[in-house]
Amino acid sequence: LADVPLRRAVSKLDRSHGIPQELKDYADGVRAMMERPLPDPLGWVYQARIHGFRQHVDPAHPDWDKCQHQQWFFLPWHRMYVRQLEKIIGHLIGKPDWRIPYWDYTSPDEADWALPPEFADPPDPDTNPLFVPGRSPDPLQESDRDPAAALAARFFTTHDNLADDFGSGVIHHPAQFGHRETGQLEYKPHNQVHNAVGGLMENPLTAAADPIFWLHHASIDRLWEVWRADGHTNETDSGWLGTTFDFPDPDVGRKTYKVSDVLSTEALGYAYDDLTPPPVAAPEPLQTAFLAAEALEEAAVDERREPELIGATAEAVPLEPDSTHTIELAKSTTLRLSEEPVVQDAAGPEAFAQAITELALGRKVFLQLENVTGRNVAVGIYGIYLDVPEGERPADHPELKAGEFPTFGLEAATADGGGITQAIDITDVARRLYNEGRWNPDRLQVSFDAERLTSNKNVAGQAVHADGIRVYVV
Amino acid sequence: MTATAPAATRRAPRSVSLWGHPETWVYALAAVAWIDLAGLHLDAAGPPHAHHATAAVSHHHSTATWLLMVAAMMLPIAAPGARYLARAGFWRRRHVTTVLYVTGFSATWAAFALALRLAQATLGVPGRGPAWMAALAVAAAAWQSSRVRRRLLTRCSVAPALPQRGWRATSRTIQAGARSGGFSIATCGAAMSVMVASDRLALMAVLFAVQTYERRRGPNPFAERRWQAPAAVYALLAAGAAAVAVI
Repeated sequence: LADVPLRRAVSKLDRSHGIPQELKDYADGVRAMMERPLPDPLGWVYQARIHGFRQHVDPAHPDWDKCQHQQWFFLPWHRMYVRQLEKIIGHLIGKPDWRIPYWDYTSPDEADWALPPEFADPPDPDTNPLFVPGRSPDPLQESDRDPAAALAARFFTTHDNLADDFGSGVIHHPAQFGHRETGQLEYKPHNQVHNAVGGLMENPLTAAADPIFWLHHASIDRLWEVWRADGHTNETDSGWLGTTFDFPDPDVGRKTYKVSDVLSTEALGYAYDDLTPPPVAAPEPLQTAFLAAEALEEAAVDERREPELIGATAEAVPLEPDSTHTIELAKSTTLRLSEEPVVQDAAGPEAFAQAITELALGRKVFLQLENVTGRNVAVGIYGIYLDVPEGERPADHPELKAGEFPTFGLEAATADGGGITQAIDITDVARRLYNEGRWNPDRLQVSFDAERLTSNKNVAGQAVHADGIRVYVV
Repeated sequence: MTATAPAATRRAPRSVSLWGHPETWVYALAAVAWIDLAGLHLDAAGPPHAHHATAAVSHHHSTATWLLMVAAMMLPIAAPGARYLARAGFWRRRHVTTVLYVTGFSATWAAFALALRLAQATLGVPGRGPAWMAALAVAAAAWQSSRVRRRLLTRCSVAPALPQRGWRATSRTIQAGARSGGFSIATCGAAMSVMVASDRLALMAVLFAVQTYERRRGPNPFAERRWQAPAAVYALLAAGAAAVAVI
């Protein structure tokens, strides 16, 4: 590592003398910022409103409502934003080398999944500037903080608005929310942790006013570095690299960053204490009867392959808890997969169809919720289940749970016109169904469960719809 | 039973063919429209041989010619949307989706063109000449600068999730094309209306270049300039036409 100050895991800070110095400094900085009322650009409220406030550009406050979500500026914009807060706090407390700790919830140690204790205790905002009321008292669940799908994403963006990308989809016109697919890192842990923490964090228009927001985003920023250090490359599109954003700056008044300026954390003046990828569960193996393992491996060469749609709902889908929807799967012979050399010599139509199914499930399978829009959103995190037996509750079948849909930013994306498009890696559950002889080649049933609620809680009063649900293989 | 993969069964991947780029023929249609229009203009500007020239000029001013101009200038704008929806659907439906989408898009523009012509005829305004061009270009510049238009332009990029089977797939794809056509009329219709005043090929080329410039890929902050530059072009056009009208 270059000789730059480190951002360290909050759980590993020295607590032998009580509250770690880094968090004391953070609390002092937050307090100093809170003492700077509007319109001071270094104040806490002003900084929080840079992320979100009313979700429309107010000519009187051109800095506000600038956060970037559900598109490929999500990661670089938040990197700039967190770095600027770090500089403001370093400036206000007279410690320019202070670096924000990150909330290391991707650690396998369950103790790290709870809010750092200094943020919850004492529960009094007058004496503890790191505390805000309204957060969930529960620690994160294993699924909330699981970065497996994100770290397995092969490309920063796929350029086609379809599944399997790390850093969300391409836009070429300014848009704060929506319009392109949410990348795997933004989906989880990012969105899901926002919903799981709750309170101010569950809404992008208030989230940055919670001091844990900044440690959460330092964690997301670190995972970007973990992914990159694991052999992946950032986007190289000149439109992305050349886009600029500017922020208030404690030293020079205004700071303008180009995306290409922030691809090296060392150049920005910080590094992380540890870039070791967190342990992730091994994928479910596919038990093949019609394709040889070598043939599958040959077909699964890691290349930038076009995703192929294999199923879609016939209608728009209301995302009501305990509702079930049918995805009609394509006839195997009409798929492009049927042209792959490895299935050509299957003996007979039945074996041919089975070989194509095995080829599809041998790849990565994504369930994509398209253009989800919602108002009065009461469900914070939906559980998504596949092929739950008729008449039974999805939550009673954890083995059929394919993933979640966190609703962070849903109302904002709805107001901006596009809604949220979210791909969920369902490979493991799909393979499990196939291995157990329960895979139906004609259709896939998708069920939703209200796993956690927002502070609204009025599930009957919400209106959440998806334009459709689709299944892709990549 | 295990399928094997002898080399003899390997096929050339379709991605290098039209299946990989189903939007290709949309661009091809636009190119044909440009060639046809260029031919008409050459005929009109060529040596006088009465019958041919009269026919060309008559055709030149027809609604059909106006639609040809729309095809030349607007189909390239429809092509990326067609490409996205075709590639996001079932493999076998790629060309069907493209046809249906472009049909919906073109039908909406045809309705707009007919409405313009009808309004022109009903109100009894000629709509042609430099004074009209100046007025229409001023309107285009004003609309170009409006916040409503910029918001519409951003929303243009939202693509629907289309059903893939049966009549729903057909009707929803046509609707998606019509919706996209509606957005493009809302964002480009004012500029295209300038062509009512004059259908010179050079003017078409300028307007086409402006529309393409605004939709090009590039850094996001330049998007702010994307609407400013076209507005400046329309204003210049208005000033030039006004000067000609006065002289």
